[in-house]
Amino acid sequence: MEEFTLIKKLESLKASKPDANWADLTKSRILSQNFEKQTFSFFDYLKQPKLVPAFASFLVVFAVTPFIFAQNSLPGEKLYTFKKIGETVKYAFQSDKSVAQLEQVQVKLGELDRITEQSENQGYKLAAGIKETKQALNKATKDLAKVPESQKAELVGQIVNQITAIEKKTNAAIMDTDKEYQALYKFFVENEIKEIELRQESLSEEQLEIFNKVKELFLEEKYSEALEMIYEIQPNN
Amino acid sequence: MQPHEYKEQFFSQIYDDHIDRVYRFVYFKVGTEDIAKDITSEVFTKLWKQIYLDIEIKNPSGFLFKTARNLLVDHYRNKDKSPVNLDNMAYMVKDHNQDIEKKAMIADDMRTIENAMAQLNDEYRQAVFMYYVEGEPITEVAKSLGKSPNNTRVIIHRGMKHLKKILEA
Repeated sequence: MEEFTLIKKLESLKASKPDANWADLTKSRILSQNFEKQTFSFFDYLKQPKLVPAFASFLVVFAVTPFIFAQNSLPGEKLYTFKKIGETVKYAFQSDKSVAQLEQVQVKLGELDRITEQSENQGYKLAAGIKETKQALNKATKDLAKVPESQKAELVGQIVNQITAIEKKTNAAIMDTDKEYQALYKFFVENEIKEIELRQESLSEEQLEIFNKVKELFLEEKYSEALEMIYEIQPNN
Repeated sequence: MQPHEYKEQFFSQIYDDHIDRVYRFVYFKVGTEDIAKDITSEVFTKLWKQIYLDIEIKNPSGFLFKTARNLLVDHYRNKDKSPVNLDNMAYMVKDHNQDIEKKAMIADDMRTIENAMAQLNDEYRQAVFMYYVEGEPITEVAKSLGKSPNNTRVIIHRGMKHLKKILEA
């Protein structure tokens, strides 16, 4: 067979065509379709199974690192937010919330103490620390009644002593006029009065006079003033 | 004219120029009119999507045949190859002005040549079909086969030699 004939035969295949109606209908149908542009999304990459472990590890490291570094941070510092988040999570898992709140006050007072010990000018940290302490005190005072009696006196005593020491060191008022905190002082003063009454006979006349004044102030609900006077009695025991 | 109308016009032009060739290309591979229509329609839908989304197409013809080949590969993966239905091929001659005798002649030629083509290996068949039936330039056939133009010329030459041998046997 001549090549020319063969080519002619091949070209005859060109005669085959699709149905014209089908072609027109198909064109119309295709043109009626709309498409949406796919926007780039970081999360599309995360759908790749290979990247899941790597991303999960990165996420864990990225999420955990600030919490580790935040452990020693103080109020007013950038990492302190992470420390607070950690404390909130820890608090959520505590079985005795009222005790945990009192312990939290101690932690805040400890932070405040560390701030006062820093030599550099940390006025803003002190303000932030006092604010944090007051917030913790607010929460703790509200639930004071729920604290088991066996722990209450010791915890409250420690807190009141810590507050007094810091107030002396900084000349800043933590407990002053805020009535919400007074429940804490009331409990402390009441406890002290009971204890002093047990050994009232051993008090000197001067101490007895102060003690009577303390009781008067307690009845007048002037717990802060009563507390100050209690401290005047105790050193001479 | 709105940008969308430009897009429609652009698509229509490519569609009108290529629909027969793409359809034929697919039909001679799958051998069934319905499947050929489905695949051809999908090929042009992909083209429309590119145009609609403003994705540049440097070579529409190349894009269409490449897409058709990919879809054919998918088709063969899912189904066994079915032979071309030669009886349907005569029916495919759509020029209704041709007389019955001529139609029969063409159908006979098509039947003979397609029978012979079916005996060629895939590479020879594709090269010969694209070059002689579709009139694609060597460069396009080469792109389609993934060979150099010189290699493609050799493949077409050998394909024709084989085809001749089959037809003369």
